Amino acid sequence: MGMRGWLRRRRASAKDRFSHSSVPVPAREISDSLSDNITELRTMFTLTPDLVIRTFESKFVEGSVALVYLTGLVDKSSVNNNVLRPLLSQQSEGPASIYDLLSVGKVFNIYDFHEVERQILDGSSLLFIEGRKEALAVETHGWPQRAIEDPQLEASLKGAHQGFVETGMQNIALIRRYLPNREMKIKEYWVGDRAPTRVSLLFLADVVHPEVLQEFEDRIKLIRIDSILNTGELEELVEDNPYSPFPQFMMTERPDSVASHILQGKVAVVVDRSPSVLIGPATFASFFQNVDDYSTRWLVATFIRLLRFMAFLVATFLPAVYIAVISFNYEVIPLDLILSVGESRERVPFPPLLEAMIMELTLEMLREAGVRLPAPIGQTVGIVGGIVIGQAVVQAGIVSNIMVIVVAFTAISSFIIPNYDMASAVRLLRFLMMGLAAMFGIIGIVIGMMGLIGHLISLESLGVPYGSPLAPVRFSDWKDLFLRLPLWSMKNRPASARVVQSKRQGDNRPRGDGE
Amino acid sequence: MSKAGKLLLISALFFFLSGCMDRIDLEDATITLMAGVDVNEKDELLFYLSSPVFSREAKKKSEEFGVKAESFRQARARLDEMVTGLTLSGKIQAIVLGKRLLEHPDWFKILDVIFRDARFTVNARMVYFDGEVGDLFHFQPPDKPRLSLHLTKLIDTANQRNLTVRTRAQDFHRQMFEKGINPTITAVGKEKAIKILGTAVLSKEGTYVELLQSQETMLLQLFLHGKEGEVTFTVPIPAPNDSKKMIKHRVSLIAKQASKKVKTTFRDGKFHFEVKMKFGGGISERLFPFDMEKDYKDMEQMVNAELRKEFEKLVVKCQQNEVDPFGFGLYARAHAYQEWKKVQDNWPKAFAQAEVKFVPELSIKGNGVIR
Repeated sequence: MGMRGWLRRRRASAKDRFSHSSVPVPAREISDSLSDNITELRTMFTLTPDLVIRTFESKFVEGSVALVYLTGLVDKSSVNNNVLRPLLSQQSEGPASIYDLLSVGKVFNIYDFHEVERQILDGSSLLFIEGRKEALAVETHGWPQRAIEDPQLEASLKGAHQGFVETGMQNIALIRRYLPNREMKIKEYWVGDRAPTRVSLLFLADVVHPEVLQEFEDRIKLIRIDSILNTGELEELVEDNPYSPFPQFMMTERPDSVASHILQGKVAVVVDRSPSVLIGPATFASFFQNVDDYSTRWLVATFIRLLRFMAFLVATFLPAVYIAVISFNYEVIPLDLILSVGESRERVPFPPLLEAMIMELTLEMLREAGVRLPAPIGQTVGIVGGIVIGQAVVQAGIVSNIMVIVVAFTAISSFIIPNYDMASAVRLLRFLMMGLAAMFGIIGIVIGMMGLIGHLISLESLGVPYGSPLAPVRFSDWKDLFLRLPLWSMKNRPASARVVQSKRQGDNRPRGDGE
Repeated sequence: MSKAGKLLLISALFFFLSGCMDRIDLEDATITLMAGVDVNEKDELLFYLSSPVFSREAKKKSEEFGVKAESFRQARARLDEMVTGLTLSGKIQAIVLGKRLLEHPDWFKILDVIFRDARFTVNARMVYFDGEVGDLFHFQPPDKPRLSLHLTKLIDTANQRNLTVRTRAQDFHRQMFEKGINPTITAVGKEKAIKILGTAVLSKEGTYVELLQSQETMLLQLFLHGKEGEVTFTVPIPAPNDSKKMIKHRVSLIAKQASKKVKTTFRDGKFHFEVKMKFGGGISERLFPFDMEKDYKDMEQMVNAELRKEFEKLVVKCQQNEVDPFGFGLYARAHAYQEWKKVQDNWPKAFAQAEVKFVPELSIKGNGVIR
């Protein structure tokens, strides 16, 4: 029984429970009496002081009109200038339809109160007109939002300096700027029963593998939940293996990175109100890639790539190797080093595992403290931590100075990994490896490494092997794995994403003047 | 069973695992860096150990102990009664063998544990000490680092200049059991300081036979390993009134590349070896005027003749002592197996009868940066 099937059954049963308990709400239709409609609205929205219901007479329509909106969610100047002003205007230029008067792009009819409720909460303005069994929804969104800024988590040197914001529509626009192509399709779903969130799947229809897309859609459709506040929550509900420490989807706040992945035949999920976008299927190797890799010269990018993989190994295994080597396999330490290690270990009252745990946990605490604090105080944490850990702890004889070097090295290594989620996974694995090393020495590390590799190979992301292109081996993708070969050599899209249309470019190899 | 249950069971099982029993933290261990074996006047075995002391409170940086015991393992137990931590044998750098020990044939059996116990290192350098091992272990010159480190470094650097051989325990094991070669180990003596004496050549039983000086060691190393490390010869050039002058006619060469060919035949009831050795050499020192541009061929001839003389002198010395540190036996086995088979159990004797011809072919590649 696969973990996935098991999960899906769990999810299906959750859905059953949900639909049984919730009472089906009959969709009430809009009546032709304005006062009835207003009463209905008032009973629907009790204790809602920000609901505005403005009734007025307009000479363009027979009978009175009611304008309804939630005051914080609409763009006031749009409501005033494009809805109210034309309707209240005294100038008469012959009979005109009400549609012609509203100078707003998107206007549509709705017929039941279910939809009324949703549109009002979504920031539309509604016009109820006496004698009509419909309401006009005018799109006048205008909620408070942040300006587009540099991405915080994934700063880039040469790439774009636009990061996603909290408005899904804007995020989609940012992505579309990179992909002005009609094959980039969007599928929309509403997730969450109490506070529905608009979730949009973006993909290139002629490139993406239909099964991958279908799988992703199915998983999103199966979600039954109050509300999704964040992309991370959605990720946890749709991932393949919930017990794995590794992220099985890529989360990014960079539109250029999303565009690059969509072009590789992956699916991006924009969650409204969340500034990060989910990309799937993800492979282990893709967490070591970065948009900057493709804008620096390929030799430099290759060097940095190799550095990252080395950093992964160092960050996962170095403290474990320290423990193993100090308590079991001291033969592998060179002679001069063994003497200096021995001298600095001599004063330490704790066994190596405890010593390493103290230091690693202190480091994690410092990191976490630094993340949550505003920048000026964060610096103080750095200084206090640096002095306390770097010097005082060694002088007091609580840990050896070799351990301090090991910790500093692992910390720097874990920060080199470009993806935050992957770096966090590495931090966690480190402790596991340390435990194994303390029990079995280098043999323990080897066991841990084998387990890790086994887990990486068995993991899947949307049914696509996570270890690809390493396992299963796909040599054509190795051009962009440990090395980053010149862009013109990557003529096809990566096979790991299982694309339908794989050709990416023609023969672009620069040949210079001679040929 | 449910997935979570299985996970729980596995982690519970892990929890009860005992872990490795032989876990010793570095600071609790007494890492033996040098071990020594000797016999006293009453023919009792003495074992010595030298290990670093990490404590800041201790004045001395290393501890040395010697015990009477019948074997290494017994010695370890006795030593553990004395040293601070538990003695560990994985990092031994040098195994020192006393002069008196090497007078006894079959002493090699003592080393059995080194090869049998996998945790024992086989990378230790084998050292012959010309004197009582106890003197060496209790020698504490104030201007030198820990004795074991000092000795190790001394051997390694001397080996780089080819003043002595560097024989690891594993190499020594091979040399003892290989019928066609005699073991050679580093020879060390002590006067005011510890000093490399050269190379000790041992008989097949392991007893000490002869000492090769540094120049002889260099020839031996050149024969065994080609150009490895730095090989420099200082060759006397015959000149009138040479012995009377303070500055004698000498030329030093540094070997740049070397390759040898050994031709092995069996004629007239004995083995014949013809060693052809091609050198490329550069002159690094010349204490007399010589027109190199015109007469460099003469210089090559003169040096060749001197080298040949020295090598043949070395071979004769070895033949007189009935040892074959060169491993000519390996060539005999390869090229004249039938005859080798008859003498294989007593090869050094057969080698003493053999005829060895040495043909050096020097070509001078450089004259240094001045004329």
